Amino acid sequence: MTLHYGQVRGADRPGARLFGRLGGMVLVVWGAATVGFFALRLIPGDPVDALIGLGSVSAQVRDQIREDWGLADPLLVQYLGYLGRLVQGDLGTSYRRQQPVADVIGQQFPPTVQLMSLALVFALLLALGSALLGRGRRTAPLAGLLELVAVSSPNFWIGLVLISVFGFGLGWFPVVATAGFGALILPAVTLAIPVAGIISQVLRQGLDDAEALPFVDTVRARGASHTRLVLRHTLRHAAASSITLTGYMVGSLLGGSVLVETVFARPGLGRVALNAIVDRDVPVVLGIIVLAAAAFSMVNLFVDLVFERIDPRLATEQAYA
Amino acid sequence: MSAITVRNLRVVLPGSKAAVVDGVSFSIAAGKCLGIVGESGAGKTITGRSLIGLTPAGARVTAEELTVAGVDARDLTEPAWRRLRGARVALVSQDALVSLDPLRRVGAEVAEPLAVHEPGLGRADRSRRVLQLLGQVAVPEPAFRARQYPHELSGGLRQRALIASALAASPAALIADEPTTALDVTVQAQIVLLLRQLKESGIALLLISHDLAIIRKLADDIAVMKDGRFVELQPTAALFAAPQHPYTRELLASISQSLVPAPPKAAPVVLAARDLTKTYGPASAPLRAVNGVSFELRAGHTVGIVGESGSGKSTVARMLLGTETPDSGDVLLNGEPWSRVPESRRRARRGGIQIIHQDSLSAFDPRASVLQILSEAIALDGSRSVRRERREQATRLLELVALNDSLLGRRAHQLSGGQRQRVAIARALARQPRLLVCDEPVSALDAPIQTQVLGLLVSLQQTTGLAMVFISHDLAAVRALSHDILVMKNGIVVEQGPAVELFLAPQHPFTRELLAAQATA
Repeated sequence: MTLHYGQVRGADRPGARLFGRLGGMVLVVWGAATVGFFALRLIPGDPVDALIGLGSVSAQVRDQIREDWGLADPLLVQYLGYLGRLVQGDLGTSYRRQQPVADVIGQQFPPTVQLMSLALVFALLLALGSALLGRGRRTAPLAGLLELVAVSSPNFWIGLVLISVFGFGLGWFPVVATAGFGALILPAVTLAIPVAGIISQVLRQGLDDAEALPFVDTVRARGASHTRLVLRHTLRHAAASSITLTGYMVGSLLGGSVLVETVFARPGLGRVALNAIVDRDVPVVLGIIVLAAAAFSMVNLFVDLVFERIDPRLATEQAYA
Repeated sequence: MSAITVRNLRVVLPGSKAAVVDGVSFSIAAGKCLGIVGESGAGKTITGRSLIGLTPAGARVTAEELTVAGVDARDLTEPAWRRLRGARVALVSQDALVSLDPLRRVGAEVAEPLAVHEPGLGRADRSRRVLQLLGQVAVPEPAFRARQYPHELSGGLRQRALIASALAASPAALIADEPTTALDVTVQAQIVLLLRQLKESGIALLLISHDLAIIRKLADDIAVMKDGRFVELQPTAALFAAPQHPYTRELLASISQSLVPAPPKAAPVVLAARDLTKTYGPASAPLRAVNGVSFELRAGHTVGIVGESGSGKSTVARMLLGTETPDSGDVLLNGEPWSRVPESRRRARRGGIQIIHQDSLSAFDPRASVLQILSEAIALDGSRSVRRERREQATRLLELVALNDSLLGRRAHQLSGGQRQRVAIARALARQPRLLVCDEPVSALDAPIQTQVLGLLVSLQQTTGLAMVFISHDLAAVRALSHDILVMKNGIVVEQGPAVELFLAPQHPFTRELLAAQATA
């Protein structure tokens, strides 16, 4: 009876659920924009200094600049103005580069997305390999050790080690290059390793947990081999627990890309963010915050949808709530 | 020719010297059924598992003869076992909800033995075979069901799908380990019928169960197992007519035994339910889980609620406990409002009403020892007692439920099912409740242990004057304990009255159906 009821509600409400989630995304972006806006006002110093850079100008010119950029208005007016422009897709104008923030971010977005996507693919492949191979009596301790090293190694250190070994030492990959797929590999691996360590840990644990479930006996009683058991059954259970984590890891990849882009002297959002913070280029920093919030909630929406595909019970359970 | 022949089978688990299966011999011919009955821990399951090469890792299996479907299965390698499993001998285990992979569609699960043993079979052929198999085990709308996931099927359909999966690669022998234990009485009867048809079609069936009534309906021979040995192996009729071993006689007694409850005496009303109603779901398609349930319960009395799963029994229990608020109607505890007051006002009175669940294993923190489980409950009643004192109190609680303090250091999974349920009862008693709600408290236990736990509840009631609400799908258990009985179906009480009258002269057809199902069981 209850099952039937779950199915009915699950079937007629996916539209409403998706709508609710999109609403949630808007809230997250709005929240990030708001917190970012006010937090950045707390930075000591006059934004006008950031605008004029190193030169010195008269007090009259300073007032004029303040007037032009709307910095003389009350904070609330500035905030509402910012939100109003944000809704129209206008992220404002960079203090430093005197060009629209959307353009600044837009130019630097593709290299970072390439880096993060490749890093995510590497991380998943590494994690999958280590989780599948690292479950034997002898390999498990080794895999555990590798994971621990991977998780506890800072990005910049991994980057430097990889550069010296594969760049300078073996000469397999370019040390400093900004174009081409080859230039992308070392940075992506650098970014991927700590993430792979965490995902691998969760995946291995998930496989172990799944193998303790009662249905495993049934599968083995059908004559299935261990390989079949893992690939057709338990890996799916383990993936269900790892996929949520992978969503969060995307956030950590974005943070890591700041370091990796600096170490490898690559262009990208991370370096733009770093420079913008150093220069107190508030609109650019805020633009990146908003973009990160939007990307992060989008990834999590995607993760939720994938999760439901993997675990059909979830769609039914959520219908109860 | 025998499909399965076993001579002097011994299984020793790793880390133990004693054999869990100790010199067992039997044979099963094609089209025949051997039933193995006994308590959990008797070695039934391990016996069955050694016929399919799935004993726990590290177990040492020896036999003078172990022939499965014409193959000498002594010292088989793992790849050789894999060729046998599913193709020559198949396994159906308890509770298909956990025995089927919950993340795969029913069709894929049924098809797996085909994918393993007949890799040459094309996709279309395979799905045609799946539909055939589902049809063979009488799953309605097989094409639709094959696309569903196990959790979307009812318990009975799931078990049928599990059986279809076992049959997929046409095995000669089937090991059914407690195949009906998790099911309602009426569904049990259907699965028994299905298994009988399979047997008649020529499959050798090894049926393992703690339920002698189920075994009786299927088995040609019955083996009674205790402590790793067959204490008795006889044709079914002979076993029932002239049981040889005292343990067999004890088992036979336990299926017909009925504990006579204490005679009701004038006592204050502890709990009153008035016209409870609970509806789930959207207003457009409401599901009346409970509709107009009323009863009174006096101290020292037990009211039994019987019905199939989905009849609303557990919803009533949750409303009595105050974890669910009725849409209309009222629960009074000790004459004071209970269901309609805020939780903050209930909290202080919570100790007076306690619950025992069916599955106490999942109700315990797996990392906690018995001492910790009990200490936590003792500390909850407000008295900050020192460690030694708590240990004494925990020991006293265990004595109440006829366990001794040697169990204090064990964790929940190290206890037997019966011990676990006793600890659950001890924990409930820690807060000196006046009312105990028991939701299927013995359904997961073997028949003799069931009788013991029921007996414990009765004697606790006589010494402490506890009032009890006893919820079960098992009419026999309800009959053993209750002074008054409510029979529920689809959220409605179809019949309600003193136990004696209800059993002597059932009024409602559903009650008669339940009684009949029990009588043939």
